[in-house]
Amino acid sequence: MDKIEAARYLGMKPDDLNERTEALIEKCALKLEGVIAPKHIYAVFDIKTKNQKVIFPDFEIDSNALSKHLEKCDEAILFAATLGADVDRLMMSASYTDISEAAVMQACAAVMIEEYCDSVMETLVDGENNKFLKPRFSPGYGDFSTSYQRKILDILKAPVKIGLCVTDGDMLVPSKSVTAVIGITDEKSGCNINKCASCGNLFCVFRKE
Amino acid sequence: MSFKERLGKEILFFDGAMGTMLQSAGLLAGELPDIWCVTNSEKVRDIHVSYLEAGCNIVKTNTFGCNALKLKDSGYSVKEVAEAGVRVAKEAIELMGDDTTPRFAALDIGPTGKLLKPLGDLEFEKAYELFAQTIEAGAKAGADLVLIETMSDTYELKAAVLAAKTVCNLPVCATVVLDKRGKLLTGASVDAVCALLEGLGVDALGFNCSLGPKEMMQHVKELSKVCSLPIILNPNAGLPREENGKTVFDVNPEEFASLMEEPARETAHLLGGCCGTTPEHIRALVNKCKGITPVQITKKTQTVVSSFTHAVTLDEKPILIGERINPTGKARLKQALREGDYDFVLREGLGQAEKGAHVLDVNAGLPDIDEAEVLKQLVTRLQTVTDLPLQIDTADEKAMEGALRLYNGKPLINSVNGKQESMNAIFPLVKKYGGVVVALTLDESGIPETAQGRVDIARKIIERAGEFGIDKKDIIVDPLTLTVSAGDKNGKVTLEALRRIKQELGVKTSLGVSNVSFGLPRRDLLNSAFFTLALGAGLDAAIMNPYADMMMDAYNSSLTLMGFDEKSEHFIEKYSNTQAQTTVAAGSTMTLTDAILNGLAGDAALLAQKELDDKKAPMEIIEGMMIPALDKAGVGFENGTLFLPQLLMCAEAARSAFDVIKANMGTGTGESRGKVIVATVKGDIHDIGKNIAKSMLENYRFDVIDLGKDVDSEKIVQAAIKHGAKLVGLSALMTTTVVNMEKTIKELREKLPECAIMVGGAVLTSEHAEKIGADIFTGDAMAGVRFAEYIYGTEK
Repeated sequence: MDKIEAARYLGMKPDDLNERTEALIEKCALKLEGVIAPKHIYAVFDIKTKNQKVIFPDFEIDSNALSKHLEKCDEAILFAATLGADVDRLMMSASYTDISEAAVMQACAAVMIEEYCDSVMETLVDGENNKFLKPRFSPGYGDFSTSYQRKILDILKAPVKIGLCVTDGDMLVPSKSVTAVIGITDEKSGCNINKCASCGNLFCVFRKE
Repeated sequence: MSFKERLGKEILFFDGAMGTMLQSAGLLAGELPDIWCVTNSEKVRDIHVSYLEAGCNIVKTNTFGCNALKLKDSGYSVKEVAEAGVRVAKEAIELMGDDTTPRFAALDIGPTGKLLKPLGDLEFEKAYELFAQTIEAGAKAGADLVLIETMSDTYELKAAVLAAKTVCNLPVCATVVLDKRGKLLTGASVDAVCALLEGLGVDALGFNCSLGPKEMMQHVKELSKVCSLPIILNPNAGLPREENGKTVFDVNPEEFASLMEEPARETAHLLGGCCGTTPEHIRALVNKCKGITPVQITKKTQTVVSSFTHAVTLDEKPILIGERINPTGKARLKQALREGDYDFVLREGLGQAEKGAHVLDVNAGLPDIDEAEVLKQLVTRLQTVTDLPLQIDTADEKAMEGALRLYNGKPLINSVNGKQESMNAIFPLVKKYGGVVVALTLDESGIPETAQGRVDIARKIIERAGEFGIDKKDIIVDPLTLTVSAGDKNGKVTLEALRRIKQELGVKTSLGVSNVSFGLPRRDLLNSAFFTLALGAGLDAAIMNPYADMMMDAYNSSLTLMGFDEKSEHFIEKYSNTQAQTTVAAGSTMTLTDAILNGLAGDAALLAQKELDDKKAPMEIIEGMMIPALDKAGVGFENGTLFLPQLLMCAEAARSAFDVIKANMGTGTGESRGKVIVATVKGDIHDIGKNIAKSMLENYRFDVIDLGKDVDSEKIVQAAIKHGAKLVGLSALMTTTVVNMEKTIKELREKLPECAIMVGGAVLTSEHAEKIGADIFTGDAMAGVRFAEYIYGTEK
């Protein structure tokens, strides 16, 4: 797990890390590694983009940002991944025994789910038959409403298959989880869009420069 | 013959996948399959017929997702769809005509699609209602059995089984999904699932989905070792694989049938298929396995309790039941229970787990509180943070039932005794909810003075339990420890009764060990000696204090001496080169202030104790040593020289010092600086931000009333009124839940215009906070403290 990235989530730059904080991050990462049960599920669909919408065979997503992101794609992957429920239990328990661990675990687990998604994406079609993957684009980025999380999970049968559900308030549970749309394109260039760059929350403390 | 009469005596075949077949019949991605029972009933019926023609005995109705949540916007009612589902299945069975093949319609019940609290936002009772509604309709429509399937959470599974057992008299089968670890998605092991389901009284249990027959093999063997019921095996046609964006399964019908032959001969009694299996798979399976005489089911005799993750089996090796969550004689716990300070209780639970307890006793018996409600809260909260099985300990039947219902597993039940009244009250609860019950050897005539008298009562209790259908493996007899200060022979009689009950009645035993020393000096000496003697006499479960080092030493030493510690490895690991640090090393120059500033929680606790031992007044310690350290850390954080993890480490160190002072001084730790209500708003279940704010406020001696997460606006308003709080802190993480924050603020303004409101959360800004009517946006861990100081006029 990338400790520097975890520190960034905790509002620290690489130079701010001292020995004790680093040790705490390592300790929390180790505890998390003992309980994570990462799982993912995905499916590929033919898509079209039109009038600020992304049109899938049986449904549409109304989002200008996503539509722009997928402009040159004729296929897209619906993707969902989770670190599992035990991570939430561990973090809840830490919030009673040691609040510093609880906070650091949040950061570590956030890094771990991203790293897991990255590792899964590496095994997907990237480069095969001259097809390339665009970066993950998740509900909540730009005008891609979080309410689409339910639709994505339903289509993938994620509650049954990987135990990933959504609350009435559109929150993913277990909490360290991701849903995303990943475009598939013939063009290799233009893929490395920083996902922060496409987010409207310009003042987010976690925004990458 | 009925399904129940055939069950376990012959191999019965389930059908295969429904979803896969519906998709080939034209079901769209994301479309609700269940409504096809109404809209395309002939297509659904054809699928049933094709499975029946392939030779299966049981068709699963197309009602996997038939619940009020999923059907909400479908235009169809649960009753309509469930009835149609059963009707279509029965029509298909009728179409097969009269032959000798037994055929049944299983009302298929899948998960709700929501995660239950505390992980998700669905209440246990709400889940129960959803299941009850579907099952009631399906049973009335004439289903022959209920199949609860594809469950991956024990809590949801419990809700479904309870509903099925309550609203109908049909046989209930249940199958769960295992991942590659051989566990449920929410972490439960196979033996934990088995203990729960057997306790709840299902008729058959097993696995479906996710894995293929090959991968399930090992797990079904594991299950057959602990299970006393017929086993169901409904695997996928192999592991799913992605091909051109579609999920495919590789195991063909012949291979599938071959792989299922071994379990048919050795372990399972009901065989069928899940995702990827077709009528051809089922035809091959029936051809291969029809006529096999299934393995005879043996009744297992292990005494097992379970949590949502694992089972604890009382076999040869004795276990420890932590006794600390019982207010009797514990002033600090009494205070915590009265004040609703559940955090303290949870830490007691987690602490005992850390010390090595295997089960936690939970007792809320205080005369001046609502015991039933508090016990529910304790059980619900404890099972959120610890995976140890719980022992529900109450003399109040109502409180017992409430807690048993919400417990996520098969609990220990403390207790029943030989009085008819007690047995008549408790045994039906044990039967309904499952559990292992502790039986006290006393009756209408009191506690017998002789070992013989206690053996007799134990025998009577076991017999009476049998009349309720409760096996003796689910009874643990406690022959009662009486203090030796009241009778010289008390210890001896208990030990003799213990030995005889084990030998003559063949049940497991438990004792509340420390009762032996009441009224005598150096209780630790007597307790640990008595504990050792009891272990020698065959004690299986000790209710004791895991914090008592001498007791733990007696336990660890006894395990080694009794042959439970291979090559003495556990003992050596525990006791070589370890000298427990209970006092601060001599010559250390570290002060309490240093310890807090450096975030050293262990040292901070020891140094706080040292200051108390040196007769320093608590207030002097707090004001003179702790607050300055916290202030320095807080200022450092505000200036950007100290970061969140470090600030929180300081907070944690300060808390451990406070805990020491509180434990020594009770309530005399000085005036609170004011009350602050904190809550994560309705719809929002992320509470780390709120928890950080709370932790900081408590360190600055604000009295924080934490209402938790996903809290209704009304509850927040009421709490603010009840506690007379001048400040409320609200947290929301998502844009979608900020709406509820705004609603809460509006209601607070109406009812309590004088109350200040601070808000925090990742999506908020100062402007946004102002727009929704908050007084201030507190963007980091210290901001809440500073605002609280401002409101209560105590800022420096």
